[in-house]
Amino acid sequence: MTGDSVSKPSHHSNKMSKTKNSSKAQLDALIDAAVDAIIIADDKGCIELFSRSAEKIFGYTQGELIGKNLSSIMPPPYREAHNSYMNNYSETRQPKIIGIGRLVTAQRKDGSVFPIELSVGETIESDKVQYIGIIRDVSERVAIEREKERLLKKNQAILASISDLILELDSNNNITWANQKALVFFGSSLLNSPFSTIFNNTLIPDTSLAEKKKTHKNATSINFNDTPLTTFENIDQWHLNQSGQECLLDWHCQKIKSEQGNPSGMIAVARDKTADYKAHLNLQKAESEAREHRDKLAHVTRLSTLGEMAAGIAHEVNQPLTAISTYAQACHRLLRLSNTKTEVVIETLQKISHQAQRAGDIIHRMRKFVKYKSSMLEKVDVNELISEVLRLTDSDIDRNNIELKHTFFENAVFVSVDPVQIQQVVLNLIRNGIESINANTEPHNTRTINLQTSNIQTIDLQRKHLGAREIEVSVSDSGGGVNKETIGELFNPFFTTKSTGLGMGLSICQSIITAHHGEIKYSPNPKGGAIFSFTLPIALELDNGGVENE
Amino acid sequence: MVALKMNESEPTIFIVDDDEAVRDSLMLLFQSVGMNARAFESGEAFLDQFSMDTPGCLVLDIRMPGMSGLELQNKLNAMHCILPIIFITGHGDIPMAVKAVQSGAIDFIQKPFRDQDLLDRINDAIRLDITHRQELTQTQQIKDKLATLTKREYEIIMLVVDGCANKVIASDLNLSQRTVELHRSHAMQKMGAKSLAHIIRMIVNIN
Ligand SMILES: Nc1ncnc2c1ncn2[C@@H]1O[C@H](COP(=O)(O)OP(=O)(O)OP(=O)(O)O)[C@@H](O)[C@H]1O
Ligand SMILES: [Mg+2]
Repeated sequence: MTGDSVSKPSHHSNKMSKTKNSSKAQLDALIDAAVDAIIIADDKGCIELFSRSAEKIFGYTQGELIGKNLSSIMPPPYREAHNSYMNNYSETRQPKIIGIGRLVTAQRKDGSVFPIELSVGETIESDKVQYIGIIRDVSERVAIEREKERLLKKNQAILASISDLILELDSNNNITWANQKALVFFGSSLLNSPFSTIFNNTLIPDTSLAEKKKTHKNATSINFNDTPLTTFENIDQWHLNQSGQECLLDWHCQKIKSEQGNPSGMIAVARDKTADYKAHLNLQKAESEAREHRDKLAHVTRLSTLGEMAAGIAHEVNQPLTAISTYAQACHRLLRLSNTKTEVVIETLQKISHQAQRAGDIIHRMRKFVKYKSSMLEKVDVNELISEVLRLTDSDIDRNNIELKHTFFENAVFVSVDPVQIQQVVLNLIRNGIESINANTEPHNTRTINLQTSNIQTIDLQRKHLGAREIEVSVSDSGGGVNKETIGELFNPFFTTKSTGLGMGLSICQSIITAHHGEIKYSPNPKGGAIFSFTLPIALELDNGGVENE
Repeated sequence: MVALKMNESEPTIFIVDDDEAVRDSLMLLFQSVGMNARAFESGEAFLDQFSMDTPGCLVLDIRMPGMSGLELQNKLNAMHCILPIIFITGHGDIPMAVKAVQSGAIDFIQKPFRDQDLLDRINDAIRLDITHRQELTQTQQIKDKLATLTKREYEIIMLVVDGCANKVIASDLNLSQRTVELHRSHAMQKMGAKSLAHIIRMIVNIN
């Protein structure tokens, strides 16, 4: 085997000097050490030399191939064609491969075909032509390239299917690449334009936005020119797309770092949140509707529990009342008898006062119940709270042909209250107003209810804070007003002048307002009718710029 | 509880109310007018302790925890107790009160009440109870006397009450008119009837 391979080159070395001999040894060493396979063949394609690397790459031993034709390491169809290639070259001297180097395929001993990079040289000594082939197994490189290509295609497919708009910027903020969605959104002219131009040209300024759309966060304008490659996160902006639609884009940026670690560009991603935004609006609407229903329901339930409660209370209060009246009447009879002992009467009077106490306790218990089990305190704007009540009473007001006016304190005034409870107070007062107007039979009576919120400065020495500030809410009506004699009874539970009334409305209002550290009072309306007004302490609001501190 | 000295024959007002103050004040009221009264805190306690032989009336709270006033009324009805019942009711208890009256209560009165109204009703009730009891005693006496008659005497008396003349009875029973007259006068004597009208009233009473 080795003898063969040595014998052939030695054919040349016979004519060489001693130095030539030593350089031949060097050449052999070189050939054996080369990573690339080296194959030498004669002009007929007969293999004369097959290097060690060639053995490794092809799986043949030298002995198996020396003297064989080159075609044995070629896959079909080259195998068949190879001889004609070589003949062709011998005749025409027109190189197809010699000195050129090519990517071709080869076949291993086990039959597997693999890509090689082949460069061929020729030597002509005397008239003997030899071809030297240098072969590099590039199957790994090719595999890597294929994988690269696959990844590229995969990325393209992903980028095409993503609904986000994706832009690639170079270090000067120029757009170098955009995905299909971005091209459609901004138009194909965006490529090679500065990002800031595209951004600002499509941006809808806050001033021309519909009111409800202005509330998005981080509505800051970005100045890209000053500092290229400024990243930003979660910036919601309304942009006008190519088809002229207003779209809410949520921008995110990510720097691309070069190998040296300094930024070489940036990826800007914009998510179209218009649909989310619309869904959010719908949700808000649904929520506010649900809330309205809940409030109405709360009112109805309150009334029905009141009905039940009233029956229960009537029964409970009746017990001590019965005892009191019976004791008193018995006393009366006893006193008429000559033999009655004073002690019995005194004892009975004590029992009477005890029973009166008991009745009071029952009422007290009930009031506690009316104060509700748990109140959820929220910081709300009084004006907004009342606007909501107005919406709730709309249909009632219309049905009763009443004109409802309101004068709100110009600024938002925040109070810390259970909104539902305060709304119930206002609702009760409006109901009473409507009922009073309806009951008023005087001719030419106007049918108006006036709601007013005003900021008042109380200068009350009994209060801890001199001049503590409060908001006053008043409901005045053009009804018949309250009789002077009954003013003192208005807020008593079960005091009513209505056949269908429970007399609980004002009593409940008072409980609620008292629990909120406010006061409720009646005053006659100078223009005729009643004014019921209550106060609420203004909440200290530090985290909202719209509210002045105390 | 102020329990006045019980006198079986003297009419007694029975009070059943779960509220102690109401019971106590009623006891005082009845005491002030010199009436016999006993108070019970529940229907169960009353059933435990009362005697059917005591005349009087029952002042009964319609709404009580445990056995309600209406339930107690039904129990007493089932025992053929004739004690008249006056219900005391709350404000919204009218439908219940109506039911009570339909089940035989003589009246109801709403809390709180005027003492005179209650006392008037109680007096009416007690009077009614006494009459009832007298009537009951009378029928019992008649029944007892009827039991002493012979079969023949009974037969003849029933025909007499039906309005048959002696002659008709004699022929009906296949007896001599004289025998009929003899049985009849024996029977009248045993029954203590002074006249034909008297014996007729007695028999009608027990039916
Ligand atoms: N705006 C008003 N004008 C005149 N009288 C009023 C007014 N508001 C209340 N009143 C008087 O006060 C009484 C008590 O009112 P309140 O709201 O407590 O009970 P109500 O309206 O009678 O019954 P409800 O429990 O159903 O509210 C009324 O019956 C009425 O006589
Ligand atoms: Mg009211």
